Amino acid sequence: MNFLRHRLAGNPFFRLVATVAAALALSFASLAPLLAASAAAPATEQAAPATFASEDYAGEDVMIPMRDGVRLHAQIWRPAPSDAELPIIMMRSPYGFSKERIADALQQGGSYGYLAADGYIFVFQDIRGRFSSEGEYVTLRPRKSTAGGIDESTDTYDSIDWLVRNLPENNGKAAVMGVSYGGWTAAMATIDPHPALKAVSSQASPEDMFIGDDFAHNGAFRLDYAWSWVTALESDGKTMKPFQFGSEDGYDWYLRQSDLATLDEQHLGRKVPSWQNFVEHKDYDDYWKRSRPSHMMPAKVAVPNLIVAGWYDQEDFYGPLEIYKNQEKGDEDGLNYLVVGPWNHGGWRGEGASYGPFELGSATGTYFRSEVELPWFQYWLKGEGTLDQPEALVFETGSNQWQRLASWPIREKAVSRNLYLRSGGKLSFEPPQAGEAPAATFVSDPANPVPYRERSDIKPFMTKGSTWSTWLADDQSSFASRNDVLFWESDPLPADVTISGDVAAKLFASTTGNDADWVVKLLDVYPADEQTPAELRGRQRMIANDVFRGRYYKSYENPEPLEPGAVLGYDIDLHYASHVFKKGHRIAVQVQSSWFPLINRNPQTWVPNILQAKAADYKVQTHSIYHTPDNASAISVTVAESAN
Amino acid sequence: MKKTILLAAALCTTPAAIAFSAPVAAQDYSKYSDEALKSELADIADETLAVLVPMRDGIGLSTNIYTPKKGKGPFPVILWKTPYSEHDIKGGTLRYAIKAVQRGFVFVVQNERGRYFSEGEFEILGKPQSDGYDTLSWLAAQEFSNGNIGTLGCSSSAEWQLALAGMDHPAHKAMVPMSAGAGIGKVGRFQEQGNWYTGGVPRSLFIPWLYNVDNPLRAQIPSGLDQPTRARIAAYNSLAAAKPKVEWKDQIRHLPPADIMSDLGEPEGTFDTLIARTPGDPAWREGGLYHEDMGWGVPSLWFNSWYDVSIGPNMELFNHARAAGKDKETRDNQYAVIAPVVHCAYSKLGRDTVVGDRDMGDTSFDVDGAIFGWFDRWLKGDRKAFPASTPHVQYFNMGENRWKSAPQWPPATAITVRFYLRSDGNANSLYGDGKLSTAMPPADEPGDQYHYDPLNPVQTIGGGDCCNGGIVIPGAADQRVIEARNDVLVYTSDPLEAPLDVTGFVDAVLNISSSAKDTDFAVKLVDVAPDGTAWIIGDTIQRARYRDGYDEEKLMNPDQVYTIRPTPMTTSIRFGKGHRIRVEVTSSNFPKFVRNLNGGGNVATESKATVAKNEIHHDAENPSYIDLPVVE
Repeated sequence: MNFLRHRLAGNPFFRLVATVAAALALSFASLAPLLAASAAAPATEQAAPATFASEDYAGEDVMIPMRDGVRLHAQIWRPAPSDAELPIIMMRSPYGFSKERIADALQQGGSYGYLAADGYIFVFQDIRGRFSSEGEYVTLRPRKSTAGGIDESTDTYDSIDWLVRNLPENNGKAAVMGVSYGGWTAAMATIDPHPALKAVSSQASPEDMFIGDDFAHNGAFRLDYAWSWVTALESDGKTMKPFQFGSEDGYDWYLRQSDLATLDEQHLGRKVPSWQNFVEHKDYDDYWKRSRPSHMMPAKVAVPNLIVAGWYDQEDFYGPLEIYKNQEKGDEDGLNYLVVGPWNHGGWRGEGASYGPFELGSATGTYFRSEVELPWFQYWLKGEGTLDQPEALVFETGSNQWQRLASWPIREKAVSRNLYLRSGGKLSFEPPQAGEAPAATFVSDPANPVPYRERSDIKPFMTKGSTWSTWLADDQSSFASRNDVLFWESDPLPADVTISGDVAAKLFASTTGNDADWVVKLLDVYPADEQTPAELRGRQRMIANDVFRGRYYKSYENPEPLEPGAVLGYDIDLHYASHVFKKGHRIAVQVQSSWFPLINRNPQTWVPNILQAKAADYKVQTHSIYHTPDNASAISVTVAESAN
Repeated sequence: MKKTILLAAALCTTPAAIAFSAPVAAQDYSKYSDEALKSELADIADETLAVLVPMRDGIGLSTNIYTPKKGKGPFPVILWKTPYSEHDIKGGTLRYAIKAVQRGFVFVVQNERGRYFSEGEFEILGKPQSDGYDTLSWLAAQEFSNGNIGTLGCSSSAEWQLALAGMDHPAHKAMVPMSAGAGIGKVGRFQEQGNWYTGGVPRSLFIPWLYNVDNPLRAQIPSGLDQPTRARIAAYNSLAAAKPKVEWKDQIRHLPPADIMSDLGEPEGTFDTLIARTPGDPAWREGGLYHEDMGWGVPSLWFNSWYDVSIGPNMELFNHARAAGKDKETRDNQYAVIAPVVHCAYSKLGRDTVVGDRDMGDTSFDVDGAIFGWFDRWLKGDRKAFPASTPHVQYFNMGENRWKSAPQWPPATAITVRFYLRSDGNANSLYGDGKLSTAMPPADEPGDQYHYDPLNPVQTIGGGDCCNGGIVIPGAADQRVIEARNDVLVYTSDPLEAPLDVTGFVDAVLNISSSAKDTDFAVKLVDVAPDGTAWIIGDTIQRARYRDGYDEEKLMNPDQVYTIRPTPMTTSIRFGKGHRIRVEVTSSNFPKFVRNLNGGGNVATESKATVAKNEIHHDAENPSYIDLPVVE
C-alpha cells in the first residue's frame, strides 16, 4: 500500500468510500478516464516517489448547493500543505470517482500526475443524480427549457461559483476538463460560462449519438455498446453494475435476442429509460439533436478549449472532430484547438507507446500530458509560460510522427483523389472502364451476420477480459475471406502514399430488399513477406470505417423503404485519417452489410422500427455494389505530400 | 501427522450438514469453500504430508497421504498423481479426497517427478512405468494399506495411468482414467503421440500448457529435510512459478512455430524437444505414453466426453483394452461412460446442461457413485457395488439429449450410410452449391477449389479442445461464421424427413489435389438446426504428407489426385427431423492446430507462408464422401 493511499484511508473527511469504491472496482477503462490511470501506472503499488514535488494531496468530501437546492457531491483534492493560491481544475462525470483511483492518478506516472505535480486544486464532481449527488440523473441532459431551469451548464456554473467563493487559497481561476462523458460536460461548461472559467479541455466528447458517437452511427444502432452502457448506468444511480449476460459469447447472446425493444423488461424486469428512448426515438428527432454540444455552445468561442480525439477511439471519435469543426466557424480569437493522437477512448491518459500490435514510436500519451496538456493549463490558469500550441496537433499513423498543422484538415499540399472499386476485386486510382463487370454481388443473411471481430474475441464490451478497447487494431483479413464481404485491393504500392484529411465513400449499391446497412472499411494491408514480423504479415489494418443505414438515404428524420433493385449512390462519411501507406503495402476496401453485434442487424425488409422487428422480419437479401463509369463506387481520400 | 490446528478450525467452521455425516451422494460439496472442505478432510483423516516416496533411482516423489480416522485398517488405497500444485489440496482433488476417506479408502496425492516438492527432472506424465510401479509397490507395503490399490484422476492425473496399466502391477486392482487423451501414443488408427498430433498436424494446446507446466529452471527446497520440515514448508510455500501473462491469441501466430516459446525468452525445455519430433519418431516410445503393444492389465472404468481433445483415440483405446487385456477378467471389465461435456467437466452433468452454446437438456449421471462403486468392487471385493450387468458403454446422445447404453462401441446395430460430397464446382461457403447426398456423383462432376492462405487461416470456434491458454473455447458452437468463408467448402444435405441417429466412428474419405507439395485437409461434421444454427459435432484434420502413414513423409506432385483418410470423428448425435447434415472441408483449423505453411519442408522451422490452391474432387472415379454409422 502506498503512502498516499494509506494516509487517505485514515482521513476522517472521507465518509463515502464504500459505495464509490465499490462502483469503481469495475474494470471500466474505456469509459472513465481516471480508471484508465491504473493501467498506465503499474508502479503505484510502491511507495510514493520522492520526486513527487508536492509530496501529497489531501481530499475532502463536499456537498455543493445548486440554484434549485439540489446538492452535488464533489471531492476536493489539494496539495498539503498549500501556501500558494492555486487554480481549480474540475471534472464532472456520472461514473463515480474512487479515492484509490484518484490517489493513483495524482501520483507521478499517474494519469493526472504531471498536473498534480504542478499544483492545482482538483475537484471531482458526481453529476446530478449519480452516486452521492442529489437530484435526478438524465443521460446527456438537454439544455434547460426555462429561465429558472437547470442543466449541466448551470450546475457547472453554480459549482464554480461555490468553489471560488468557498475554497481557501484558490486563485479565482477555474477549468473544466474530462474525457468521454466528462468531455461532454467540459464542453457544456462553455455555455453561459462562469467568469472564473478560464479554460476547458473537452476530450473525446460525444457530439451526436445518432450520427457518429456512442449509440448509433448514421442511424445504425450500436447494439452491444448501447445495451451494456445504459443497463450499467441506469440502475440504482449509485453503482456501475454491468449487465450479467451469463455467457462470454456476445455474438451468440445477441443473436438469440429476438425482440430488442423489450430487452430491458425481458432481462431486468423493468424499463430502462434510455433504452425505451432508443425505441421511441427510432429516427433522428429532437431527442438526439438536443444533446449535441456544438449546437448549444456559443457560436463565438469565448473559453479556450483544447479538444482531444483519438484515431482509434471506439466510442467518441466523431464527437471531438465535429465539435472542433463547428466551433472553428466562430473562433475569431483563436481559442479553439485540436489534438488528434493514436489513441483509443481515453488512451492519452496512459503511456500510448503502442496500440494493439502496432508500435507508435514514442510514448504518445505521456507526451500529450507533459508537453501539451500541462502547458495548456499552466498558461490559462497560472499565467505561466507561453502557449506553444499549434492549431492542430495531429499524429500521422504509419509514419508515427506528430504534425503541427495550421488547420485541420490541411488545406495546402493536398488533393482529393478517388480510390475506385474496380471489377475483379481491384482497387485503383483509375476509374472503371466501360465493358468491365458492372457489379459485385453478395448474399446478406441476417441469421449469419458478419461479426465485427473474430467471434472468439466478442465478449460483451463491459465483460471481464473484454478487449473492446483495442478492437480497431484487429486484423481484418479473416473477414475478407467471407463470401458476404466484398474486398478490393490495390497492387503493392510503388512508393509511400500519405493521406491527410477527409475520407468518404461514394457507394453505388442496390438491394433486393427494402432496407440495407452498408459498412465500409479502408484498410492498410501489410506485406506477407518474411521481413514483416509474423503477427503483422498480411495483416489488414483498419484506417477508417463506418456504417450507414440505408433507410436514411434521403433523410435521417424521415426514413423511407428502399426500392428493390434501385441503384442508389450513398455518401458515407468515413471521417478523417492521417496515415502513411508504406511502399510495398496495399490499400484495400471491404464492404459488407452487417457488423454484429457492434451494430444491430438490419431486417432487410421494411419495418417502421427496427428495434421492434420480430424474428420473421429478418430476410436474406442479395446486395450489389456497382463499378461502372456511371456508377463508379469509390473511396475519396486526401492525398498529401508527406510532411516527413 | 495429525493437523491439530486445522482440526480446531474445523470445529468452528464446518457446516453442520457435513458434521452430521449425511450420505455422500446427498452432499453437494461444490458449494463449500476449499477452506471449509479442508477442515472437513482434517476432521475425518489423519494427514501425512510431503512424504518422499523413494523411486528405484533414489529420487523421492512428494506424496500426501490421507488415512481414515474411522474404521480399522488396513485400508484399500486410491492414488491420485498430478503434475499440478495440489499438495495444498484443493478443488476436485479435495472433494475426491473427502469422498474416498468417508468410504474407507486411504487417499494419496503424489506429485510427478520434477514438480513442486518432488525431486528429479520433469517429463510429461512422469515415468509411469517406473515411478508409477515403484509407488504402487511402496503403497502396497505400508501398514495402512490392504494391498489393493486403485488409480483415479482426470487429464494428467488419468494419462499416466495408461502406461502403468501396461505394467500389470499385482496391487493395481482397478483404475478410473477420466479424459485421458494425452496418454495415448499409437493405438489402432490413431497415432497422436499424446495429443501432440492429430493426423500429423501438431496441436497448439501444448504450447500454452507447457509454458505454464514445464519449468526447467524451477525452485526446489534443499534435499535431506525430514518429513515434518518438508510438510511445514509446503504449508506456506507452494514452489509454484507465476510466469508472466502471455497474450496467446497473438503469440500463437509467431513463426516459425518452433520458436514460439524461445521468442518469449523461455529456456530450452520440453516444447523444444517435442516440436522437433515427427509423428513417427521412435523417441515417442521413450516417454510415458501408452502404445498398443504394451498389453493391458487392469480393469478400468473410463470417463470420456464428446467435446474433449481426443474422443477418437479415447474410444479406440477402450476397444483396445477390451480386446488386448491380459486375461478374460480384465477384458470383460472395461466400462465406458461418454458425457456430452468438455474436457474433465463431469461435474457439470446435471439438469439444464449447456455445453458451449447448445442446450443438452438433463445430462445427470451419478459419476461419483460409479467411481466409488467401481473401487468398492475391485478394492474391497464388493461385487454388488458395481454389478457385472452394468452396460459396458453408457453414452449421451446429443440431439435426443438422453443417456443410452450398448454392450460395445460402436453399437452393433450401426449400419454405414455413405453421403457423397457433391456440387457443380462452387461449394465455397454456405452460400455456394455444395450438397451432401447419398447419390453417387457422375463421371464429369467438377471438383471444388479454394485458396488456402496460411496467413489468413480458418479460425477455430468451439469443438473439442482444452488446456490451451484460452485460445479456443471448447464446446458446441455455431459454425456459420466460419462457413461464410470462401475458403471453406460446405456440403449440406436436404432437411431430414425423419431423425437420423449417428453413433460411432465417422470416417471421411477425400480425393484431393493441391498446388503445394504439402498442405492440410480439415473436415468437420455439423448438425444444422431448422433455424440455420450450425452446431459443430466433431472435426478431424490430416496432413497430406502423412496420407499413407506416419513412418514416411510423401510430398505431393502438384495437381495429382491423392486419396486421404483422416482419422475418424467420434460422436453420438441424433440429427432431428428437419435438421440437415453438413460437412465442411478446408485446410486449416487455427489456432487449434498449428498451420501448414504449404512449403513442404520442416513445418516446425519454416516461416515462409505460401498460398495453396487446393481442390476436393468428387467425380465418379474420385469420389469424396463421409460414412455415417447410423443406428435405429
